[in-house]
Amino acid sequence: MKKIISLHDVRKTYGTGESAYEALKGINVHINVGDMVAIMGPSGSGKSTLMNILGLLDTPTSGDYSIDNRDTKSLNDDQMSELRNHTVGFIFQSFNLLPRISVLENVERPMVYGGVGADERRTRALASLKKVELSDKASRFPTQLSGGQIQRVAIARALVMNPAIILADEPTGNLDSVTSTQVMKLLCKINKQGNTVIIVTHSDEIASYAKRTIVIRDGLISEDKKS
Amino acid sequence: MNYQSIFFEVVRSMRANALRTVLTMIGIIIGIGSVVAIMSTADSVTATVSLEVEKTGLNKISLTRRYNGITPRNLDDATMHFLESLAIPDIKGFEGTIGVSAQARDYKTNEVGSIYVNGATEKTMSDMNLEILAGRGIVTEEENASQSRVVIVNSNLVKKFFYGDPDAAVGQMVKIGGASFKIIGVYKNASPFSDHLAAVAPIRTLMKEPFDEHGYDSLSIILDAGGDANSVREQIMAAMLKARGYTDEDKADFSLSSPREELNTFKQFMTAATAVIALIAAISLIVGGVGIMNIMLVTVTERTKEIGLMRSLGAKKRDIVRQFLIESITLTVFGGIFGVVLGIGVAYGAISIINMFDQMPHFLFSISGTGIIVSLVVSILIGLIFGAYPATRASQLSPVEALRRE
Repeated sequence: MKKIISLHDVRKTYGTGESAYEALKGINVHINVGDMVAIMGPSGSGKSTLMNILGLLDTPTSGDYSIDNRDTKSLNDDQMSELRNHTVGFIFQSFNLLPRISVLENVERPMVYGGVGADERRTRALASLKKVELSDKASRFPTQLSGGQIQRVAIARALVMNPAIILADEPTGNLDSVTSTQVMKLLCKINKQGNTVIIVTHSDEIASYAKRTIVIRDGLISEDKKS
Repeated sequence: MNYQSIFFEVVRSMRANALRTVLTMIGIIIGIGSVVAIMSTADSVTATVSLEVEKTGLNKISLTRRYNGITPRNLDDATMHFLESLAIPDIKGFEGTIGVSAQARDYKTNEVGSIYVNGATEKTMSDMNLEILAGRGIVTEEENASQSRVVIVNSNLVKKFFYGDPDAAVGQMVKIGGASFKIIGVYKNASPFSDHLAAVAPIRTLMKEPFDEHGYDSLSIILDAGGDANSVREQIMAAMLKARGYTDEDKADFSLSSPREELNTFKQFMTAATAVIALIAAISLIVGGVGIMNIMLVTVTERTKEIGLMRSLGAKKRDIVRQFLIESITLTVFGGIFGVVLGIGVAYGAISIINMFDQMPHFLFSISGTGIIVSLVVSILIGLIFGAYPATRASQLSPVEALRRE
């Protein structure tokens, strides 16, 4: 199996000296292409820190992290931005969409940063919205959408660059059970099409959709099981 | 990076915060507005003056006496004959002017007032464009040759001595400088605000008692249309210097005007003066710029989380800088456009008010194209300069910190 993500002894320390706090204490993990992984753990376990590092929003204090065969240590800020743009699609728990632009423009935005031309942007964004069955909401604004619809737009946006990895941070945290199921089924469908999906969650029910569950406790992997 | 979608986002956010947007722009609006108003008003004045000068004086060179430590020699008929004898091409003719101050006294009431009497000929009178209320507007050649004591008075004199009735005044006598003059006509004052007494008399009449003027105040050399004023001026200067025994123009007891040069000097002066005043007005633009910077810093703080989201979608630092620069420049350019409209309005209002006072010359209204272009360029620069710090600050936020911010 080809590896998309490899972490070797990744540590993250906040602060210095007396007040230093070690959020990750040496994480070793590989994630294969096409896997669907749930990262679980109680709050304060370090799972958010791990997600930020995986998503290139933050850098480890020490240890090695490679994504798509690239060692992240050697990357500058622009290269990190490009990787976030091409290789990672984010779905956050809340505040997913830019409030002053339409649904369509939100889905187009990663392509704006990726340098895709206007016509192609429109076509791809509309196609992506179709996949999440929200074509009819393209010209709406985020405030006119329900929570479930917002999450689906976020999925459409994450898909639009066809990234190797979809990184979802508590994607159903603000949703009722019916819409949660909708969103999770959508993520499963995406995974079947070949994208690696990583979901950070504290819900066993959500984790049950994943093929593999990694549990973090006190900054270390305490459990790593395939289902 | 696509500017259009960023621009629409910016405009929408400006509309969502309409009051804040307008308040922020006021500094720029007032700054640009005053610069445009000043430059347009100055343009109007320059255009008006230039037109007046072109109409009346460009084909005229004035020879005047100059007090250079000694009493200058007279400019009289002999001078005029001398100039005529030079037979310089392009000269159409010569005219002398005399003006005297004297006391006017009413026959019946003995009321007095100071009066200014201009000398004229039949020809020069027709150039004066006087508005005649009663009697004649012309002194004849006979009256001039015979040095007749006739005057055409202004309406102020009629108001003062003849109860404001021009028809009653014509044919009456008035004492000027102790001698009796017959009123042959009445003309309307140029300015409604002045109450000065004035009159026009045959120019030769002013050369006998009681005025006894021995020479002209100035001699006008009238050129043919399209005549070469510089060449004529040089020839006259050379002949006059030689005749009066001078070698240096600056030491002579006479001087020669050159209207075109004077007009150019005037235009240069106006340009310089306008630039200085506009620059002072532009200081308020710095205040406006600080207002823009202030609001942009607030905006960056408010949108920290959005910045984090954009970074997670792959926005580079320079994309964030660009986004906020577009926002600040949009603010200042819109402010600049409103300012230009305001400035033109103020200049138009000012010129209209000046023209409400029924006086000559009527001011032309002119919009300063330079002012508008400079204003818009300055607007962009202000947006760039005062937006740079907030935009850079926004881009330096770490993505994870920005996302975490509430």
